[in-house]
Amino acid sequence: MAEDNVKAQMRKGILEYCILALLSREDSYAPKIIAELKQAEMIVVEGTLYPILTRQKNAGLLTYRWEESPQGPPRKYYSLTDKGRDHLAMLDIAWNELVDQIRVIRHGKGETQPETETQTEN
Amino acid sequence: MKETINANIGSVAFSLDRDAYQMLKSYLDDIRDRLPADDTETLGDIERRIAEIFRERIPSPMLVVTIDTVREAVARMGRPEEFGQRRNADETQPSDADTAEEKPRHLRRSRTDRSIAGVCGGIGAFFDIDPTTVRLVMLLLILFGGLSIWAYVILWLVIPEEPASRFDPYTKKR
Repeated sequence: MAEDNVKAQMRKGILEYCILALLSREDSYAPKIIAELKQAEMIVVEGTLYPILTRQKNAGLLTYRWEESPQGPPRKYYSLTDKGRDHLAMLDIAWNELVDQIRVIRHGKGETQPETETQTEN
Repeated sequence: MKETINANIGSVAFSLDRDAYQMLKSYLDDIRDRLPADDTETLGDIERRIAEIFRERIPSPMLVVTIDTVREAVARMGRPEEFGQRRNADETQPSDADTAEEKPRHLRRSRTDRSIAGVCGGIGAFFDIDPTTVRLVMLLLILFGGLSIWAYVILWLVIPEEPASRFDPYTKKR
C-alpha cells in the first residue's frame, strides 16, 4: 500500500510535464491523451486530467480549437503555445538534471556515466 | 416499469433511470464543489467525457442509461475526492461537517466518540469542547461534587443517539 502511494505521488509530480511532452509531439484531444497516459501507467482515473488541462490553458501553456469528429459532437483539440514550448524546454532540462542527480545518489559520484549532456544544454 | 429522466449531458441527449440520474447529479455537484469557484470549463469537459463513456456503453440512443453504467463511468473518471478538497469544507470531516454548520445543532449521543454511551462525546461535540474534558469534569462531579451517577443514566435515556453515518453511493453493494 505504502509503496503504491509513493509511486502515485511520483507520477502526480510529473503528470503536467508528461501532458506537455505528449502535446509537443502532436496536437491531441482528451480521450487520446488519456489513452496514452494510461498506457504509460501515468494515470489511473481519467477525471484528474481535465483540471490540469484547464489550469495549463489558463496559464497560457496550451490552447485549444474545436474540431469536428467523425462520430458524435466536436472535440477539443489541444496544442502547445510558444510559452508552453519554452516551459517544456525548461522542464526537459530539469528532468535530465533530476535523472543525473538520482544516478549520482544511487551509484556514487565515481561510477557515473558522462553527465555533460545537461550542462551543455544550458 | 421504471421512470426515466431525459438529460442533456455534454450536448448529447440521454434518457436515464431516475436512480442513475440522481447518482450522476450528485457526482457532478460534488465535483463542482471541489473545482475552483468559476471553473465551469473543466466541468463541461468532464460532462463531455461522461457522455462519450455512455455512448460507448449504449449502442442505441433508444436505450436507457442505468445506474450500473453511471457507476462504471464514475469508476473510470475517479471519485470526487480525486478532484481535491471541497472549497467550503472545514478541514477534517468531509461530508457531514459542512452540512452541520448550516443546520441547527442537535444534542446527540456520539456513535464514534464514546466510552460508555456517547453522552460526554455528544455533549463535547455540541458545545465544541474536548470530550475528554467533559468526561473528566463529569467524573469529578460524580466523585466529589455530589452529582448522582443517575444523572448520567438519565442523560443516556434522554439524549437520542445520532444517526448512523451516511452510506457511500459510489461503492457497489453486494
